[in-house]
Amino acid sequence: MPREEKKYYSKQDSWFLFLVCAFPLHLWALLLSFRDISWVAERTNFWDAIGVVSYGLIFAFLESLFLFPLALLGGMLIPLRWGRNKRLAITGTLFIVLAIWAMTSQLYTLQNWNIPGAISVFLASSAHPLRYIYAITLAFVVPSVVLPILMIYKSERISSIMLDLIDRISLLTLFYLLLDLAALITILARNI
Amino acid sequence: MNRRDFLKLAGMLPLGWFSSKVYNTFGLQSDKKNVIVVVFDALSAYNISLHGYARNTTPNIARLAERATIYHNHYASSNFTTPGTASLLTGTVPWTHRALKPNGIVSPDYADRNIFTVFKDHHRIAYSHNEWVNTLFDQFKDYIDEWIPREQLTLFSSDRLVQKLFPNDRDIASVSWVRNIKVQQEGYAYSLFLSRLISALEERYSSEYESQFPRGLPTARADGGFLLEHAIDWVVDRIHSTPGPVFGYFHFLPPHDPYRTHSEFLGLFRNDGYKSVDKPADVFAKDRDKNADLLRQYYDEFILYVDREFGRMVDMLESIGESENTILVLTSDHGEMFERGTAGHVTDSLYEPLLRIPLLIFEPGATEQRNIHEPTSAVDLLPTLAHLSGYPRPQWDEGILLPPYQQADISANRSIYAVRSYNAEVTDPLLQASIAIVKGHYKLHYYFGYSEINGGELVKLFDVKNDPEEMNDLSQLEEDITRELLEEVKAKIKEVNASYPGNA
Repeated sequence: MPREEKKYYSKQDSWFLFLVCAFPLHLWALLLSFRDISWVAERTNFWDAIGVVSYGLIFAFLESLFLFPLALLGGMLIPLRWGRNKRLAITGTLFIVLAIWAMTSQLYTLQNWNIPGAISVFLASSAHPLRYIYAITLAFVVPSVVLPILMIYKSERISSIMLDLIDRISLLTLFYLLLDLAALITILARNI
Repeated sequence: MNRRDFLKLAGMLPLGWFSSKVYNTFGLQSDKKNVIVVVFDALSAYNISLHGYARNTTPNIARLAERATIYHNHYASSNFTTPGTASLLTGTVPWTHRALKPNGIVSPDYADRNIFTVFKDHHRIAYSHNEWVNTLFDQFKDYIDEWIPREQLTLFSSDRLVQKLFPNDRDIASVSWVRNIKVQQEGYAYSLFLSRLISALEERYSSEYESQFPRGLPTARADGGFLLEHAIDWVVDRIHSTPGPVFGYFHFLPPHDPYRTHSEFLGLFRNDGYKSVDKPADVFAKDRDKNADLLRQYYDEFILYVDREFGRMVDMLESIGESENTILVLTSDHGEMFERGTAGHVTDSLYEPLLRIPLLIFEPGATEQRNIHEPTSAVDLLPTLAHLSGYPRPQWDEGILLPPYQQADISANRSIYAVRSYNAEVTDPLLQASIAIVKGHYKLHYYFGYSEINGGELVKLFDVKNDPEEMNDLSQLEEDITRELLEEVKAKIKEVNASYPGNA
């Protein structure tokens, strides 16, 4: 077995995985904080709105730092023999899938989505609505987690596509990290 | 003074210091009474049954008012917290103290001209649920003996850490923290994962109160929620345990939105047959709020909670014997409106529900109700309380001694102003503003510089005595009065802008 395969993550892989973790967290924080700019500016002023965005970005950075070790640990559940590329592709993809589910749960309120009437009626008439809600949720979430793992494991092509996609995402995250730096300067300026 | 005299005098100084400490410790120093100002944020007189509102929102206050002086036509100096509170604290109109913008501070000239500097022989305590008021306290902190941190009277909140980490940017750091973490408030937050975790921890802590507040805990949206009961209990205990006279300024958030009343009052005004007066949409109404009637019901039910707690406070003060030694004031910083397409107070308008606020003064030994119907202003409170406490009246306040403490008829020639200029910095001239002037029966609205009126002017005149709902604009019918009041306002603006030319 080659020497690098004995380690789960090289420094470069860890950095790569950190960028993948940071991406959805920054994207969501930016989307929502930009949404708030108008009312914060109206409440006080535009400088305060920039302040709200800045705190949001720094928190997203800290959240990335917090979740990154968990992602690393999760990645260690994948057998070493699957190879570096597949391990990275699976760990990165799973993190993004979970982030999409977290976004979906918030979008439900944000977009005023409603549960379809038929499902509501069914739940209301059932003896154990909570059990059904968990079952329905699992029916959606489990395949969305298991299928990508299987697809990446089985197909070298899908594995390389996902790795390529994650590579591009991590490049974009570098731009977000630059924004984090600007946010840090903004926060320092506001607190002097 | 020769060297010997000087040494004698210097030798007496420690004795003087010691005797003052002894006096303060044993409460012997004066016959001054406690003065407690309780401000309930956004409490409109328009929605108070004591002032004629159709819903019985204030049964306890009405009971206690049998021994109070009630001001039935009392006006705030603005329609939102910062300028309204700064007027209460400085006894000046917003264009004088200059705390015009949200979360702003007063002009440096007024940093040492405030109610705390007047009550210099009292032990001065200040507390506010509202962070914008704390910004003003921060400016006056050299004259406050005990400034209670906001979070001391709130339930557990992760916000405390943020407040400590960013002491110079508490407001925006708190706002951002809420948007990052409090996923349960709006259903979404900037943080995708940690928001769930932290919110779950906070909810677990506050779950014991959930059944008492089915609409959610009262909150300033930057805390884990609070109970007015806790704050009231703390205030009474602090007054009782402080030796010597206390001057306390306590600014509590209810009934400010979100309107989250106690379960005891939930739904009391639902389907009660109340019908609000239908009024045309105002030029500044952004979207005609279809939920205005529902929000009014929630607001009115929240006032019941305020009423209960204020009643409990007075009863407790009586039971421990402090009411005989305490001048108690109930008032607000501005009102709230549920009409003309606006629900709340985020508007450039200055209609009566936004400006008319309660003022009740409870004096020791009072046995009967006194009703004052002349228009009075928030800026009158400072000189009146100074007078009642035996302090010389400040040279700089712009109020008057309220009736019945002065006998002269004040109704005819008194001009009362309310000012809103939301975007103006301390040194900016007023280029976009809303001004109301109340004189006798009449109230003139003057709006200028807004895009909604194409940068021009809008003038309205109402006879608020005979038309308190402000339905009939008399500006075309009563041209002389309109001209006279408008000229007075414009002259005042010209005078103010001459002092603050800015970059214009």
